[in-house]
Amino acid sequence: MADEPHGGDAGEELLFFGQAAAGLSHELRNALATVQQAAGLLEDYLAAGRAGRAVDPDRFAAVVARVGRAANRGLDQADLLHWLGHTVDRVDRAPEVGEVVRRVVALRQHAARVRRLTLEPRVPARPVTAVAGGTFALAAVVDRCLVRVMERAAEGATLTVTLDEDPGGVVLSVESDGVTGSAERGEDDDALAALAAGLGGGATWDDAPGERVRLVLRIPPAGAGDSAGPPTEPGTSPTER
Amino acid sequence: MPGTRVLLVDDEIDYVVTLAERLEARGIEVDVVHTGEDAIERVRAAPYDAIVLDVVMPGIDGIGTLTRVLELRPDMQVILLTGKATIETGVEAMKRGAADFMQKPADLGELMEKVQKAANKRMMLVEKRAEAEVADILMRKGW
Repeated sequence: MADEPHGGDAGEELLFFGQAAAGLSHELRNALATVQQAAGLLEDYLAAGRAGRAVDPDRFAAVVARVGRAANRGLDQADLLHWLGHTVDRVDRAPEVGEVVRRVVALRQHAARVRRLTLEPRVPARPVTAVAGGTFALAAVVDRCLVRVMERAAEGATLTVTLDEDPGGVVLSVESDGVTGSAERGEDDDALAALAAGLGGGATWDDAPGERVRLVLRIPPAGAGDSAGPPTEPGTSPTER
Repeated sequence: MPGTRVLLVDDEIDYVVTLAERLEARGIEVDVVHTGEDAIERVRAAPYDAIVLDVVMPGIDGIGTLTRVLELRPDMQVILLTGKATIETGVEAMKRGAADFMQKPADLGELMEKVQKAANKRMMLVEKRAEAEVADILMRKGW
């Protein structure tokens, strides 16, 4: 681990890292399981061929296509795992926020699919780099925002994850179009607030009751110092809900 | 083994379709569905000798599906397939009435053995129930 502080809540950051690693391991296992079964099936075809039974070439082609898909999926997961592993040793002064958001959304795709949620990242094509704090701390707080909204989203909802910039810094909005009702306020919100505060920012709920759940994370520009503090936002802070 | 009917339930489509083809090549009659909801509908429509059920799925998960399936057909033999075959998962599965559980990816030989064992157990339960029903009828008729 680096010698710089990563954020505001070590336990919560560890939770992010552990859940992300476990999710990647699950996805990698699924990809490899497909490759393993496909290898077995190709052996079956070979055995059939050696025994003089014809095997339809289309069946070979279908199995080869499955192997290709599984390999690509496994490579994507390995790429994410590599990125995740290096988030803790890159205490960047200027992490590329757009990449962090895209990667965190990718890390949560499986969990979203299991809950029948759709994640839609909307990230500017231009680099967004003007925030303080390291990649890991930023990834952890983005992930916790996503998780909190996923917990409150109705099955089948679409979650739009929008990254933007304004003079006050970086603004990340996670919004769900389906609502199950307010989740109980508690330690999760407090932990999120602590993580955001670790980057000098703040997270606020901006719900429209019965219509949407929306969480807004604001992170001030690098160098804003202690005076910046969390900007004022309509709605209530996680600790005030 | 030939003639054994198995329902495979897994949202990993490429994986489960491949596994199904390998089982079919070994004489097992296989149906495939990708959600717990579809599995429940299939079981409602017809019994299977065994069900191989993934734990992590969208919607009703494997444990929830297991519970619903056993409510519909208490003698159904369900083998849970999990990416995290911990003791805890196994204990939870067995507590809920699973016949067995195994880690994903499933070794084909091991899965075939478990399916065979499950099919035999179900046959035994069906025969026992039939015998009990016959005995009950005979008793009611005073024979």
